[in-house]
Formats: sequence, C-alpha cells, structure tokens
Amino acid sequence: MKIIFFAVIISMFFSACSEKKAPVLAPEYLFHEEGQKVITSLINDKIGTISIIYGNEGAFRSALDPVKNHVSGERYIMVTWKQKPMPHWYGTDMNGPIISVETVITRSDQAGRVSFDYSSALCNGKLLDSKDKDHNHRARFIADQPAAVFP
Amino acid sequence: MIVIIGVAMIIFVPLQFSSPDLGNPATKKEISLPTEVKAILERACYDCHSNRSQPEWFDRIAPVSYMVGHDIKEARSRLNLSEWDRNPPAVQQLLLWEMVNAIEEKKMPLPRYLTIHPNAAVSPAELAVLKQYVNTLPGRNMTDTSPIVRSDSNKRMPLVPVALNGIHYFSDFKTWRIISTTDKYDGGSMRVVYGNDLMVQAIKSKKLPFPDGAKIVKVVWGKQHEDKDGNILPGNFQNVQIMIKDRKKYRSTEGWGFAKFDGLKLKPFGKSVAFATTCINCHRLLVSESDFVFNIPTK
Ligand code: HEC
Ligand code: HEC
Repeated sequence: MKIIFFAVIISMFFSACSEKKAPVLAPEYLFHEEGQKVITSLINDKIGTISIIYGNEGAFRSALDPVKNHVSGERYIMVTWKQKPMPHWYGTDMNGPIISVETVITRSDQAGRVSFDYSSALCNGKLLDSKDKDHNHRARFIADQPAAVFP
Repeated sequence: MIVIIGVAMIIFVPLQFSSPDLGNPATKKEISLPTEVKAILERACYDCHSNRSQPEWFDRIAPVSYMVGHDIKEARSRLNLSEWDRNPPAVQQLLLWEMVNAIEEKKMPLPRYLTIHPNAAVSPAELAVLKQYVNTLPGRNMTDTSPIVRSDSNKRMPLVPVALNGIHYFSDFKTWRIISTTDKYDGGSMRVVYGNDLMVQAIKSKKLPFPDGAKIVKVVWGKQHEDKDGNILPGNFQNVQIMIKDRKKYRSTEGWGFAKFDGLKLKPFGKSVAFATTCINCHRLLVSESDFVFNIPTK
C-alpha cells in the first residue's frame, strides 16, 4: 500500500514539473524620497495611469484638514506611473514605469497670501510639459486632494 | 518476456482490489451559469471540481485511480461547483476570477490530467468567453458611494489587533517604501503595497526568493466614482493585508506568514488558524515562480 502511494507520488512529481518562468525585477519603477508620507493614490483609466501623491509633514497636515488652509512650506510630490496588466492575475492593473514626477511647493508673500510653485519632471530630472497648461490649476489639483483614510 | 508479464500481473491485479472508489457524493447546490460558460467548465473542470465526476475506464485502473482519487478529493475540498452555496457571494465571485486565471496561467485543468484527457483543454476562444462572463459580475466596476468614514485619531486602539496565527498588526509600514500600486477592478478596489527595507533591497538586487524578515503590507480602499477627467480616488478603507517571510515559522504556508485586518477596527480575519491556508492556496497556484508574491515591479 505504502509502495503504491510512493510510486503514485513520484509519478505525480515528474508530471508536475512544468517550465518555471522567473520574473525579471524592475527596481527602476520604485520611487523614493526621504521624509515623504503617502497622502493618497489616484487611478486614471482614461489616460491609463496610476499615481501616488506624497507630502511632507505640512502637506500631510493640510491634506487632513477639511477646509484646506494651505500654509507656507508644504511640499507635494505626485508620482505617475503608466498602468499595465498585472502579470499572473487578469483582473488587476498595476504600475509600470514612472512617467512623471510633479512637485508643488507652497510659499507665502508678505501679505500672507499663499502661492503654489509647480514643476514637472521625469524621474531623471528632465523637465516635462505640465499635464495642464494652467500650472496654478494643476498645482491646486495636487495640493487639494484629501488624504486617503488609513487605519 | 513471460516473466515480465507474470511479474506485472502479480503487482497489477491485486492493486485493483484496493483501488479507490471514484464515486460521486450527492450534488447540493449546483453553480448557476450561462449555458455556454457552464458547458466549458463541465467539460474541463467537472471531473475534479464537482460531485459529477465521469472518470474514463482507464482512470479507474490502479495505480492511475489513486492519482485520480487524490486529485478529485483535493480539488473538491478547494472548489466544488456542486456545493457552490457553501461560499459567500463575494467569495464566489473571487473564485470565478481565480478560475479564469488558473486557466490563463495554464495551471488548470491539471497538466497531468490534460495529457491523458486532451479533450478537456480550454481553447483561447473559450477562455475569452469566460473572461467576458467574469466582467459581467457585480464586483466589476463597483464604486464606493458611502460617505467616507475616518478613524478618530484621538481615540487610541485599546489593544493591538492580533491575527489567529499570532501576527500582530503594526503601523510602521507607513514610513516604508511603496513597491506597487494597483487597480483591482475585479472587486472594485484600489491598493497601495509597501515593502520594508529587506524587501526593497531584495528587489533592488533582483534576488528571489525573498529573505527571512522581508515584509509586505497592502492597504485596500474602495473606489470612488470617476470624475469628468477620468480620475478615481480612494473611498473607504477596507482592510490591511500582511505577508511576513520566515521560512521556519511559516513552513506550512511556503515560508510566508499571512494576516488580514478588516475595517477601521482592524478585526482579525478568519475563523481559525487555517485561514492562512486559503491565502497561500491562491498565491501558490498562480505565483509560485515569483516566491508567491504578485505585487513586484517587473519588466
Ligand atoms: C484532474 C483534476 C482537476 C481538474 C480537471 C481541474 N482541477 Fe482545479 N484543482 C485540482 C487540484 C488537485 C487542485 C489543488 C491544487 C493543486 O493540487 O495544484 C485544484 C485547484 C484549483 C484551484 C485553486 C483553488 C484554491 O484552493 O484556491 C482552482 C481555481 C482550480 N483548481 C480551477 C480549475 C478549473 C477552472 C478547472 C477547469 C478548467 C480545473 N480546476 C480543473 C484538480 C483539478
Ligand atoms: C483568490 C486568490 C487570492 C486569495 C485567496 C488571497 N490572495 Fe492575496 N493576492 C491575490 C492577488 C491577485 C494579489 C495581487 C492583486 C492586488 O493586490 O491588487 C494579492 C496580493 C496580496 C498581497 C500583496 C503582496 C502580493 O503577493 O502581491 C498580500 C499581502 C496578500 N495578497 C495577502 C493575502 C492574505 C492575507 C490572504 C488571505 C486572507 C490572501 N492574500 C488571499 C490573490 C489572492
């Protein structure tokens, strides 16, 4: 009885050996900058992108504030990746390569009015055209997103 | 020659008396599906994943019958289309997507079964029919329209939630690096996946399997309605899922310790420690090539 079972198991082993396709890891798709926390994430299926908005402490505080009183010194970084189908699971899209990194910094003038400095670059620092001709509008879009709910 | 046949008979004939019974238990609540979808599954999957197996004569002969008997028992315990109502509706939908993926990844029907039952193969056109069907399930395109509830940050959690296998919830993942971000449109959720330093280092050095101490945390939200520019933002927080690598401690689940905490109260998921088996079963079936992890950045 044991021998039979053994033979069956062994034969199963041989037939179960299918070709293994090892994945090629792509660390260049990771984004990192010290001291940044995740404010929220954003999917856009119309243009096929997926993004994360990060912020420094000031930006994070403002993202949690329902009335969004921006103050000087907030710094936001919106990283956008191209979407791609997740390998091995039909039903999910995930991030592929990074396509842009947009930065917004708030400053205030002597009268206390807050303005938004906007710049857009590839992750290698190459400047890009903004997604929105109106930089101020784009900056406000990034800086005004409410924080995603975390436990 | 005669000696060989003689020896073969001595081994073969008595084997037949101990051959397992490949009978069928009663069908309880059969899955209901559009006819064309059902026909594909009946031909390709029912021999193992239902109470309506129709083994061929050669399946009934030992030692093949042992293998067949073992597969049927295991397959029914995982997914039985004749006892479909044992699964809650959300799980039924997930299983249907998993079935499509099992076929697409060529894991099902079991390759060893296909070699002797070539007519069970699912053609690309049939797979397209199945894909079309899962895209009509209610979880697809589900949006979160309820008002967003935030945790009361002034109220501290009285106790750290602990999963049934002893894994404690922790919040320091919030300072980790993001290894992936996803749109899980099959269930209407979006996710951000974090990795600790060991995990990120392993990705950077392009080394698999991941080392002991590697940790992954996935945060899941519902999806809000798309705005006019196509932007979709996270809705309510749904759950946190954790994988911790420790080859020794979590040997029974391929070296990964699993945990899931639901809702803002972070209620530990599952009814018994066996919950982790259901987690690894799906990860093992589909991503054994990448150390059982889906969310890794790959070319
Ligand atoms: C010869 C028997 C056999 C046939 C035919 C078969 N399966 Fe399986 N299936 C199994 C076994 C055995 C397992 C347990 C996992 C393993 O051994 O790889 C399994 C596991 C699965 C799982 C994983 C369930 C879990 O635990 O998460 C899915 C999904 C699945 N099968 C889908 C299918 C589909 C879809 C078909 C038809 C296209 C099919 N199977 C045909 C034997 C079979
Ligand atoms: C039906 C299949 C299935 C089951 C069951 C399942 N997972 Fe997963 N899991 C997936 C898929 C697909 C992904 C990637 C998609 C995504 O995260 O958007 C994933 C991703 C994950 C990740 C992120 C790391 C990775 O592998 O990508 C964690 C952590 C995780 N699952 C934990 C769990 C836990 C804990 C359980 C059990 C309570 C569980 N999973 C059960 C399919 C499954």
